[in-house]
Amino acid sequence: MFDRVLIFNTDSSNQIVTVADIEKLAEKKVIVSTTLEDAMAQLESLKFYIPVLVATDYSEDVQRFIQGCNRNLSCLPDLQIVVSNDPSPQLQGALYEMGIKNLWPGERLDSRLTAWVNKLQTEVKVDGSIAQNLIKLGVLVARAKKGNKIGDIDSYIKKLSEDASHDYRICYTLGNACLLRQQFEQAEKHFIACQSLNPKFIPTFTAIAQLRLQSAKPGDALTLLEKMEKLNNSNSERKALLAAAYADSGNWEKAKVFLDQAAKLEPNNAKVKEMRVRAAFESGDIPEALRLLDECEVIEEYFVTKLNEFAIALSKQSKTQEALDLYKKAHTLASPHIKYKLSFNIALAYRRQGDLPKALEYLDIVDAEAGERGFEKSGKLRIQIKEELVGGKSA
Amino acid sequence: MSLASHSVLVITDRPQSVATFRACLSQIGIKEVFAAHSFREVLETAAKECPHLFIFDSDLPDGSAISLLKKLRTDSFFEKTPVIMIRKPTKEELVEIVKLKVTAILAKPVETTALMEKCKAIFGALGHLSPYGFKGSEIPGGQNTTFRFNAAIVGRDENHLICQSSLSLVDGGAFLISPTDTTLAPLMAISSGSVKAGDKESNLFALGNIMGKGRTWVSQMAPLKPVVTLPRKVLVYENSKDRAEQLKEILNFHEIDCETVDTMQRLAQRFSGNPDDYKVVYLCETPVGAIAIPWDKAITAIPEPKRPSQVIATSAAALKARPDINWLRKPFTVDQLIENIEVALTQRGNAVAPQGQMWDKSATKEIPCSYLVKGQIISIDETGGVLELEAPATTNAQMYIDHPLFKANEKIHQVRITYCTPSAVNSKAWHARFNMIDAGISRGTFWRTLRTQFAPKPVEAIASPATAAPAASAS
Repeated sequence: MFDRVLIFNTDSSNQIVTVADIEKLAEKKVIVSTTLEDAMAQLESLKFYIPVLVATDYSEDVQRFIQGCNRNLSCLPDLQIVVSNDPSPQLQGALYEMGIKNLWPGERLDSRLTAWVNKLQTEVKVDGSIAQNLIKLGVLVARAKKGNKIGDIDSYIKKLSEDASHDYRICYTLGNACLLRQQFEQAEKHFIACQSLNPKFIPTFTAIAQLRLQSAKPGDALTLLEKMEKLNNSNSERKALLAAAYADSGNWEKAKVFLDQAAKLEPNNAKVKEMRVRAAFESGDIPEALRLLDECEVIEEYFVTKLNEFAIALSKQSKTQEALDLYKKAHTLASPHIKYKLSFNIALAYRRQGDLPKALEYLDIVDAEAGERGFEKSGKLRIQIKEELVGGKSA
Repeated sequence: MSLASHSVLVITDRPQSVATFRACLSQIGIKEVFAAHSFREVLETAAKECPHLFIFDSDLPDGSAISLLKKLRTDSFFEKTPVIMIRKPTKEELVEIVKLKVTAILAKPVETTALMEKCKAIFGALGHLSPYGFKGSEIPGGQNTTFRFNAAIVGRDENHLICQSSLSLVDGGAFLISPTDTTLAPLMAISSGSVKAGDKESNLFALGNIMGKGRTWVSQMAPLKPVVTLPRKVLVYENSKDRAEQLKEILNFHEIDCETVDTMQRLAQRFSGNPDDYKVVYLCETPVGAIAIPWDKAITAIPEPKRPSQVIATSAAALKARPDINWLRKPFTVDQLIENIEVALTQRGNAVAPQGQMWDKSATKEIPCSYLVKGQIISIDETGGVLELEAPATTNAQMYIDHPLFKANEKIHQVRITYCTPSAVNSKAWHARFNMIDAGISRGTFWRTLRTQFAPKPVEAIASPATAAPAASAS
């Protein structure tokens, strides 16, 4: 499990680690990536790598690689290694915030890394050891966050719970697992324990802020996040969290400020994109919302609901064509199990527009999408439209 | 190259010539010169002292030099020890001498410079190593050994587990702390540094860096109350504006007051203006050269016990321990910097508080324990050896080597550290030298105790071509 090493080398001038140093590592299963795309592709493969980052300064690539490690490998920052002879304040701040403790100088990287790999192998080899269970649960949580099956998380939670009273890493991992399962009380208990065991482990602060946000306590989240923002103001994900906290408190103006900053730092951050769409919706700027929505990779149900709400409002104002455009957009984005409701709204809009044949056409789509469960309203509307058609003809 | 660690046995029938040899050898730095004037004396001294070189100055009254060397070479201890023979051998003797692997032959009367050069060449080829030495990798289990130090758990405060031992720990060493009371589970801890408390050291281990089941009973201990409330104020010299701003925010995050300056000149001025205000001073670089003079003057103007603790970032590999300085090796994480400053704040408190009265221990009872440190045996020779430890040990620290080779004999189980330096290869390891003579055990006894248990190959340097070929002197 621990014999694969992924080195992401952002040091193009080879000042930190020389080519010869890396060549010495060739006997290990080492993959060296010099582009973020390549490194991320390796991480996305969901194999377990020991991630090594070679960097002098903090950049978007560095941030995305570290975030990629946390998302794809495990939520244990003490497995990650950063190699830097003279780290910039931004890089140091980011490592502190991520809880990464292994900052190595470039010299003798091969012998250090070999010793590290051997140490991890020995630790993890013991069946049922804390290290083994922690890593397995961490990987399961990371995979579940990416939409994979939750798997055997419960059994690992059980195995680790016995040792949670004395290991902050266990508390942190258990907290994340509970957060994933929306067991907020349990998650809080684990994060608080983690903080009491290691008050200087900064990732717990972020986790608690997320927890507060998810359990509808944006005020508490804001206090924590503002405090952390002072430590490092170049983290786009936290800016997105801050924006979310402000948004949840109803302060969309402030939320927009943080979103703009986050978008500048990391234009491709999915969370930031999503939040910007929300902000546009909240301020009623539908064209901007639709434009931003086209850039989003993951579409939350929230957006579909919002598009639907706006379409209903437009429809009530007799702006039927605009409403139809929004309904159709929502329909393309919606997940299959709710598509029939949007098709029904489209049918209603056509009816309001006077295009009864088109309305009937959409009611057929409603029936097909609703499938066996059927949709009672569809039948009633069909009868009404047919009566209107007959009435119209007879008239 | 220093030859101070090498020893020579001079074999001569003329006791008056020993002084001449001593004077000659001391000129090239050899301090240990033994002399023997009879067969018995030679065998006894060789067995006891394990000399690194034999100099045969003459035949002895009870036998010839060649027959004595034959006898020595039959002992596996001395089969490869370098030998200088001072004589003009006959053809027959020369055949014997070659067979006996004599390293060099010098004709009588020998010139002191020729003798000195020859000794230097022989020891140079050994490359500082003892001819009896061998690598730890040749000892079964030598690369995975545990070392044990006696200590006691005093208690915990809000941030640290506090133990007492004779070790002055620096930041970063990994320890398995094993209480003598086996009902208490052991725990794994990373040292955060030490605070001097009377004649002992209080070793601090950050609670966040403690792992293992023992963490449970540690967290259940009632925190010790500090005798004095420690002010938390740091004067920071940081020449990068970005770093200074970052540091200020981070220290404030941890409720530590901070003032920053960007030159050493300003550091000295600010400090001299109100030295009592600052409990800890952080310097982003080691103060050396002309720019450091104002700071040196300012800090040394304060007498030692009242001097603030300094946390100094450095790139140097080997660092001299100083009671008022916590060295922070670059590159370091913010985590390490904060931990060092926290420990330094505690040390300053200790300077203010009565000796050893850092915490109120009246309500607690000490728990005897051992620090178990992982590491390996790097090399062993007849005087002692070099160990690699995952934690630093201080000079004179007593420790047990829990390797079967040492455990088997009570006399050599416990050793004393003569010095300890950071490893040049592994940033998380230290190299410690122990010396058995300090424990009152002769080299021969130590060596034979070890060698009866296994028979390693001697170091390769002794068999190198430079020393193996006999070289006759023409003079």
